[in-house]
Amino acid sequence: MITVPPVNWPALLPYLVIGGGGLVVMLVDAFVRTLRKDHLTALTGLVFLGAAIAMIAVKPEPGPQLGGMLTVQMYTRFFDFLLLGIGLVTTVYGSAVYSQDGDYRPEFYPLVLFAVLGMMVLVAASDLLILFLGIETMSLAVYALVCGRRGELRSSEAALKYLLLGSFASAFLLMGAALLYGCAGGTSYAALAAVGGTGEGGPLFAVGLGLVLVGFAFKVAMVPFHMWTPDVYDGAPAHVTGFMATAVKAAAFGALIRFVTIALPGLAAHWSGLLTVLTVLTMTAGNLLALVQASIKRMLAYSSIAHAGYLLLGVLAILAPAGGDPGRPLRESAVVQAAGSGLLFYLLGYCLMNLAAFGVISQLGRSGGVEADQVDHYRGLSGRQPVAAAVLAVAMFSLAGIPGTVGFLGKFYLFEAAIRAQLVPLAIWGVVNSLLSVYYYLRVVVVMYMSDDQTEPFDGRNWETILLAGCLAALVVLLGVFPAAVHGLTSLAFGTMLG
Amino acid sequence: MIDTSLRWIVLAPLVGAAVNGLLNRRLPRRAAGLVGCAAVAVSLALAVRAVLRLAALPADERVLTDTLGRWIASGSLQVDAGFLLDPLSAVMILVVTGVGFLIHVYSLGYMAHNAGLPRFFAFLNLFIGAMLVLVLAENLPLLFIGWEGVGLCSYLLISFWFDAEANADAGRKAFITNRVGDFGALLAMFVLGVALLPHLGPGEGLFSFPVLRAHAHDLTGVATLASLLLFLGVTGKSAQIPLYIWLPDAMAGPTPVSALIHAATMVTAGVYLMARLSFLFVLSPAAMSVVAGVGIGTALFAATIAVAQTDIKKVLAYSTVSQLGYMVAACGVGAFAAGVFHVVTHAFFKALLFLGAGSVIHAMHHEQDLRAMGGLARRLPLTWPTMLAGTLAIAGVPPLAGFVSKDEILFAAFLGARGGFPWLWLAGFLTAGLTAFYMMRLIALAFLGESRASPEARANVHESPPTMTVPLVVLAALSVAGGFLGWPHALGGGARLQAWLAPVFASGHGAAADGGHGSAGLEWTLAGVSTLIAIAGLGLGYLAYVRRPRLVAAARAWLGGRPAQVLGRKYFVDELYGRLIYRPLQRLADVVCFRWVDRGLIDNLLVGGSAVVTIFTGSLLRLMQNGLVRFYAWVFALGVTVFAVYLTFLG
Repeated sequence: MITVPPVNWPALLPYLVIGGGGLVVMLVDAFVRTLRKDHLTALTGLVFLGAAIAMIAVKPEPGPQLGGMLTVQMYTRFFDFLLLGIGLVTTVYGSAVYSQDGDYRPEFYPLVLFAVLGMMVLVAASDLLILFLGIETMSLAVYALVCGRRGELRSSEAALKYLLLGSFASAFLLMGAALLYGCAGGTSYAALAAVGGTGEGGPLFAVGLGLVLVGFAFKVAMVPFHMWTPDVYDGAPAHVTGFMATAVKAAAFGALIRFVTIALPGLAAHWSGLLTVLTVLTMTAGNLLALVQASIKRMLAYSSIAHAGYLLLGVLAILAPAGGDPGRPLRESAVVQAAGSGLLFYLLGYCLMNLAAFGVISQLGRSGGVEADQVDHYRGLSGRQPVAAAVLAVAMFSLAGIPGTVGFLGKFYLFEAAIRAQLVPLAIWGVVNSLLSVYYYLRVVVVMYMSDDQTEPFDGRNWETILLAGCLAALVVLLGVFPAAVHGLTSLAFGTMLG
Repeated sequence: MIDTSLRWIVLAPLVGAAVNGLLNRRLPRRAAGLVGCAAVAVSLALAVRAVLRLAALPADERVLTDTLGRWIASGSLQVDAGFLLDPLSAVMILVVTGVGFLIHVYSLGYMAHNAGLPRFFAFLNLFIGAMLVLVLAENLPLLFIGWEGVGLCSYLLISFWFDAEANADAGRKAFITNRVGDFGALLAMFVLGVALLPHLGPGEGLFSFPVLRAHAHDLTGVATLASLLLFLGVTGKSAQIPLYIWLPDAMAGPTPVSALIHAATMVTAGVYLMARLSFLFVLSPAAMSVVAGVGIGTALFAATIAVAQTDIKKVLAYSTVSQLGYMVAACGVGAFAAGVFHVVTHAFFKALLFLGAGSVIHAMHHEQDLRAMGGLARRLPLTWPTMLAGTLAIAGVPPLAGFVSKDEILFAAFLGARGGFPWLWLAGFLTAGLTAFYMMRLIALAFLGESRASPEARANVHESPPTMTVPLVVLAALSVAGGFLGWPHALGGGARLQAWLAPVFASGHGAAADGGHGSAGLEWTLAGVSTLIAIAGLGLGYLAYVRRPRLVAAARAWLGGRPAQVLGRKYFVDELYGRLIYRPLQRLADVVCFRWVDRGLIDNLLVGGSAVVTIFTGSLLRLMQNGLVRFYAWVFALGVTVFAVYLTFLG
């Protein structure tokens, strides 16, 4: 007989609120006839706020849940808050876009909620099965979100591409999990760590891990598993692209960092060579390709690939000291601590600046779903929409890593950790890369501020979106100048995961 | 003692600057002037109050402080944003706000017809604020902020009428020349910091003046180096050889600016700095000798140039350089109190002379050439006697202000001679004679004799409005009576200024000169000789330019054109600097830095080259992005295969 593990309801409350909220939103849309369009926005917003309040009000004992399937701790809570925030911002952006399009899309709201639920589960997973469940819940919702403009061929094509390649990746992930189960006799991270630590896994174990990594690599868009990214980012509506560039990437990295730190330390030596190659390829290809894009969305797609490369540098820095001394627990290493908190800080900043950028992009479109997706569409924007232009400029400066913005400090923390982990050549390569990236980010600023108005301007304007994006841009600067409190928080959060 | 009113002394003019600067043209002209004057008046009133409080304390406790907070906190480098009022800064703030206020009032009249009046007063107020930061700063970095701030205001005000290229050039010359000196001052600060850091006790601010002074014995090793570097800064700001060249050109600015910044206050910042750090300078006899030599050399050199200038403001400018030389020389022989005394009296009479010159220029409708003046005494009934008072004061006629302070310096120079002949005294003595001569020449050419102006210019000559003449009268009174502030013991006075300043200055090498070891008889003798040469200079000037004008022509004919040309062209120093420094640097910048490094290496090779390479690679990679899912999946599978192979066989 299967024994049902004890259920710690308070710990699971946020997941239940989001999941239940998603169902409620869906049913309300289906059955309440007198619904006005903005009611769903408000309801979705309430669900997000409710989940956040549930996390603040109910403080469960941190630790494994549901028989070790999930772990709830400050680390996962950090990501939960981040993801809820991104979900909320995306909801506001999306409502604005759809009302501008004149195209009401009620399915958008529950899909965002379900996607966020999948992401939260993904980050909290302590078992390959739950990991897979989280990835798939997230992915299925996002596939449908990409198809947010059903009438448009590009949007549908992007969704189909993403679905096909995503299924392909999931198959590898599942295959990897099966191999690992075969070697370790279990699917929990702890079981993997036990086998990996003894070095008795053998080649099948290594290949299994490799295939799981492929699943992650697809989601965070590492080269060479990145080919879908520009097409999908370009085809999806801008607010969904923003959601993918931030939430999906943050969740996948959140899970990857946990997986690597908990399940892999004993095997770091096998991995670092492979990861190094991936890191270099991802950074370089992302930046080089971003240089030659005329579309701002494709440019940001490649930029998100490049940023995944910088983040991988942080992951490598976590593994590096463990590779040097396998016997030593990770939590005792100051370098690991620095790299981990740097990663979390970088992810937070990365989400802020990308959301600010995509907010401006999404609200500038014309009615009928025509987006201002070419860099040239931003000619002379500073004259027409000075606030929006300023927000986009701040986002671009931050993405480029100009001091005074959170993007600079994020890179600073990551590269510093990499140097402390004796990855000096990689850190230098990262700096060279971010030097390259300045060109294509600042091109947007140049176009906005230093060239004449174009003849056929995009004049969409949504004040809620601009206001929200403006607040995010303000945070970008604020955290770029006063990082201490938040950096302390990320440091603490990462520390809880190490145990 | 803590006195939080100090910050308001500094802030009042800054607020005035902000109001005038931000509202600018939206402010009516009258309001702009009133705001500017009121801001300095507030500052003056607060300064007087603070100094009275200071004076009420016992002599050895005369320090008021006001700390705004920790400014720099970086490891063991701790610097406060704080102000310090001691007898030395008390003297300085009274001069700055007092003379500053008079010149603000004067500007109301002088600048009345100028567009950009709010801008003018904003800069002027900003200058007063920066100067007060400089003299009230509790530490070197804050002093340096004021130091740079006054430099900035000087630049802004020299090129105030920036639509004329010459004015803009003069502003740039002043700024760039000062950069050389500022660089020295910065290096000096670094040297002091590095030397002091290991000796610092807990809670002690690294650059704080009291801390520096308490640790003076730890600085012995670097004293010469630091003093000389600081002195480089002094030669820039206080216009000494070799960096004096900017000050005469600075006369391109409005005349009140010349009076306030380029005569009475800013240019004395260097003297203030040396007085403030007297404990450091006295540690290095070598540095002191350099200071004294350069100072007296500048005094004599500039005085000879002043003799041959025809622009009324240029005469006064070289006179200022020369008088600054006296002050620097005083510091060099350890007579810091005498130097500061001369700062004060010079502020009175030189501000008076410049403002008087401004009044003349105003009356002559912007004519500055002495050769086109003459006979103005009758037409300017208030300007004439006040100018005469200023002239007698600077010439050193007893008992006017200039006589007393200059005599103090010459006396100290005489005593400071370490064996052998008192060369410093002799040079100073000759300078005094030259000063009397060129000032008499100025007076004679401008006010006496027959008018050489064109008839229509002559008809329009008019006395200036009361806003301009009242400050003249006040300054004239101060120039006449200012000497009694520090009338020396030996001549039967109280030497109150010297006594007031005594706790601030270091005792040590040369400082003894201040105390008056020389006998009263010697001092009387020297004073008598000085008086004689002053009267001789004045008499010779009167003779040559009023009584027997043919004497000048005869002297010219006898000497040939050469010496007059050399003096008129200021010993060709500008040309020399152009050849030796400016042109080589310009060629270096143009050929090596610009053509080779900037355009060739950086622009073409690094920037252009890397751009070509990266864009080319990016374009190649882009070809892979063909939009076909089949191809994407194939790349994906390839990646997985490489993974699997690597992990199986190599991992």
